[in-house]
Amino acid sequence: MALINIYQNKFSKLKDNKHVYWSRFRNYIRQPHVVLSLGLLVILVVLVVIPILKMFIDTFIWQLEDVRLSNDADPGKFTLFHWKRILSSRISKTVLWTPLFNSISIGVGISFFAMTIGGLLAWLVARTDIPFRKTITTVAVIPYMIPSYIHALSWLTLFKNDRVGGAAGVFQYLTGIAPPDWVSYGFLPIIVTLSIHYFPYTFLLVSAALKSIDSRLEESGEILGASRGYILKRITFPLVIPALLSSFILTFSRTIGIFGTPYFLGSPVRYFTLTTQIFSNINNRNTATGYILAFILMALSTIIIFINQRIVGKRKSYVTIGGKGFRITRTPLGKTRMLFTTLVIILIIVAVILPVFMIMLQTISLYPGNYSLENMTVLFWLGEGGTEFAEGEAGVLRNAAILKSAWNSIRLAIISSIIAGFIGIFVGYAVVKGRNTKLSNTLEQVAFLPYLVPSIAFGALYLALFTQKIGPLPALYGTFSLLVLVSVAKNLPFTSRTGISSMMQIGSELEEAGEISGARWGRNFRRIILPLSIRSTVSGFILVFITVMRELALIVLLVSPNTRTLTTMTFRYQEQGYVQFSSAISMMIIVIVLVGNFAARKIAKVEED
Amino acid sequence: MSFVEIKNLTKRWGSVTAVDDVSFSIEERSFLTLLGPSGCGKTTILRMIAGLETPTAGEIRIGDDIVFSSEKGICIPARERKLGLVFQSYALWPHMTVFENIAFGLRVKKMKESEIEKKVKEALAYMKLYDMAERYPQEMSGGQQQRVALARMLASEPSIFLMDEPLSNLDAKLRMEMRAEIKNIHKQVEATTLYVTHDQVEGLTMATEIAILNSGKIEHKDHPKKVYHYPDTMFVADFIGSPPINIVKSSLAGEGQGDKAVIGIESGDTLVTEYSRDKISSEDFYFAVRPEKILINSDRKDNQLPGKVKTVLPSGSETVMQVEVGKNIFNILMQQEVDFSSGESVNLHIPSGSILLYDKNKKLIAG
Repeated sequence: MALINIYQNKFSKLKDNKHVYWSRFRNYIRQPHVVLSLGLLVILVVLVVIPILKMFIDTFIWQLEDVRLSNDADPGKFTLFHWKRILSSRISKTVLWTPLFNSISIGVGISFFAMTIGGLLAWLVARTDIPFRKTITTVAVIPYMIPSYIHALSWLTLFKNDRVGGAAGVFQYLTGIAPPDWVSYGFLPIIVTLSIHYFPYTFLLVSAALKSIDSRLEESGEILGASRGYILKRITFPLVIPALLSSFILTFSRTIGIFGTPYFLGSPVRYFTLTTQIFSNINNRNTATGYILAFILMALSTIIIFINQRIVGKRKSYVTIGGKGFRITRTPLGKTRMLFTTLVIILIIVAVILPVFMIMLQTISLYPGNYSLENMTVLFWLGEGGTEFAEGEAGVLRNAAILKSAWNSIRLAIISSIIAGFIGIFVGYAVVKGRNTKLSNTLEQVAFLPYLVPSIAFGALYLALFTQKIGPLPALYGTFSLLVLVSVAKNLPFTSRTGISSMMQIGSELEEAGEISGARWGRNFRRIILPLSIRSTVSGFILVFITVMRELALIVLLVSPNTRTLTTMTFRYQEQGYVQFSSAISMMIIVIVLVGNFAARKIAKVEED
Repeated sequence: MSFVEIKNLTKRWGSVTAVDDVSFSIEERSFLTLLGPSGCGKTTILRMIAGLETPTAGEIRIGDDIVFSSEKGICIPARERKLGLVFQSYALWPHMTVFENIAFGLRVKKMKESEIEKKVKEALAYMKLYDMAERYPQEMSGGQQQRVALARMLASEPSIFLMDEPLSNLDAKLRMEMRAEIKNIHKQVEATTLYVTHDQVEGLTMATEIAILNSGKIEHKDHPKKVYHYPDTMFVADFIGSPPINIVKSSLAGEGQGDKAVIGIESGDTLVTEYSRDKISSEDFYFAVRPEKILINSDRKDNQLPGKVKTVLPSGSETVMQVEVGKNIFNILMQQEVDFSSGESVNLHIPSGSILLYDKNKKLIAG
């Protein structure tokens, strides 16, 4: 009897415990940030984790199109064929190793030049008495705001030769000398144009670092009798080394993922990088090959960013030790002031004015290669479209297809920036509210994942996943929604970071005060959190808008005739040799992007006041 | 029955125990201050009562409702606990006017707009914030923001007032003013109040009861006077009072008249206490005396300690003096200006009634 009693006791206790655990679990799950985190994790898993996994798995499976490549192909079955083929076969040199080498070598070259130019310019503007500092700061970042391939197009307008195909550029028109291939295409022009595109990035990073250095650090050196040159070498420079290193590494990680420029400047002479190789493989329906290359690219950029966080991230911290609220004394340039001013003016002409001028010139030349006044026309802007030129296409401002793509671009940019922006706010809220819990850390890391995936690879991921229907989701290939999805996902790291930092500024007590007042979470969110965070995220919205506006690599694999955007139209016209159209569309993008950027700054300024 | 009851409350973050098995109660209409150094867990306790932090274990009862119990799996969210909280940062919503700030909680309760207006006006008038309704918090001084925060709490008529270091962002003068103000509010409204601070003066001046916390545990909870004059532990004795209490290592020296214990300190001097001999074990213990209880060069012949003046710190109405007795330094507080110079020899008289003794575990030995 006693024994039975003990068992019964134990059993009822167990039941009690079960009840308590269930209540505890329910209390835990009822916390708004927990619900939110779980919901967001589901979204992120669908948008990011599953595509990566699916792509990875696909590289181990015989694809339908592989029947062309091998007699053993058994579509749907497991195989190591693709990996073996790419890593160790006759073709691995052309498919993988040479492009990989090219990617790395242009990456190193660009990062080096961008770092040097950007770092020097940052020092001039932040620490010396060079004139027009404000103007320089505004103008110098323009090359970074416009799509990176714009400089490639203007390079072609200037230095193209007529050997590879199409008309020659302005240089040959004026001098009669055809530039050699290595000037027109390949390694050199890619390095030059992308260095111009990326130096503002270093400029911004190093400027920020320089501005955070307290002049008193330098002044104490001066008190101890050091000369200006010695102070620069032993105090200022070492303090910005982390920023410089970081800009080098991050520029490198971006350049290896860039697609447009190497495609326009490299492909005509069969100079391939990993990105253009991914594109052409997927385009030629060697999807598994393309996926493997995308994977290698992803791995490469992950390693680089990891290195940046591990090595540079730690050292970076001492730049801000000075804190805020200090003076900055400027070094007088003295006799060299004229020299430096001239150099900066030349840089601005080469980086901003000349490229835009070249693009503009191209759009008003009736026949490419002839840049005389008689050959000028506004047909490509305003022409009604006749049989006499460009296969009857109307000028860009009257061309229904182009206007539709402009509308697509704007629509895509607006919708995805709003969605990504809101998800960013939610991620920010959930991460900050659950600070230091496993759930919050996981969410933060998963939201950061798309940053590690280069755009072209990300596009490839979505191509891999959304061509068939998955569960309740219909096949999205060719739809506008797919473009929105991919743009939202790719920009999540950025909006999440903005969201997190704006939530940190709000401070949890403001929401807690609402909770104490008896308000439910929804009301607190609408009435307190949203109004307080929306202002700081609007400029974030616009930056996403701009990013999407100029995005090519991410969507080039995913557009269909119905969903073309301005960037993919540029791509198409350039490929077909209608350079006036591609240039005119590029001009449209430049205008939209600059206006958007101007608006973002205005809003950010109002915010500061 | 007490109004708030806390049983075995514990909060752990990983391996850090912020609040360690704390139990106490708050009587209805009383004013309890949780006092302790930073990091002692006092704010955590307040936040757990408010429902902003989930305890690791324990139980919290407010009125008739158990709002948290780890054993029963109960956790009522903050919004349903009907309490008021004034934050250290005030937590006024910067995008709302003063009126909207105060009206927020009333709107949540779905009151009529006309009634809300009446209530907000009352609260503003009560806190002497006439004509401030349309201002934004950023446009007001720290003291005014503090009043708005109090008005916001008062308007919603909570059953308990919780205050988390509400005065620590104010300057010394305003702080004194607000102390009186909060004490008055408590007297008039008679709401049960829990006040958290690290400032002992706030603790002593306003509360009907104070609890001293140290590393997540309550060391002593009692009326402020009792805590000041008969601190339960040496930590409490040392924490409360400025200049700090004098604590000197002592040993048993013998028996005085009527079995009163006589203690000796390291300088060789002896003091007669009012403790009976058998209360004290012969092991090491400490004697403590408040700086203001020590008399200098008095006519009394007993309990004299000869010493040398080390420093004199006059501050207007009172003077703090440090006197060396052997290797020990005594702080002495005098409510007058005095004329001593350092190096001068003085005699300290320590009244036997003001001597407190602590055992080797730093617990007060009952007198």
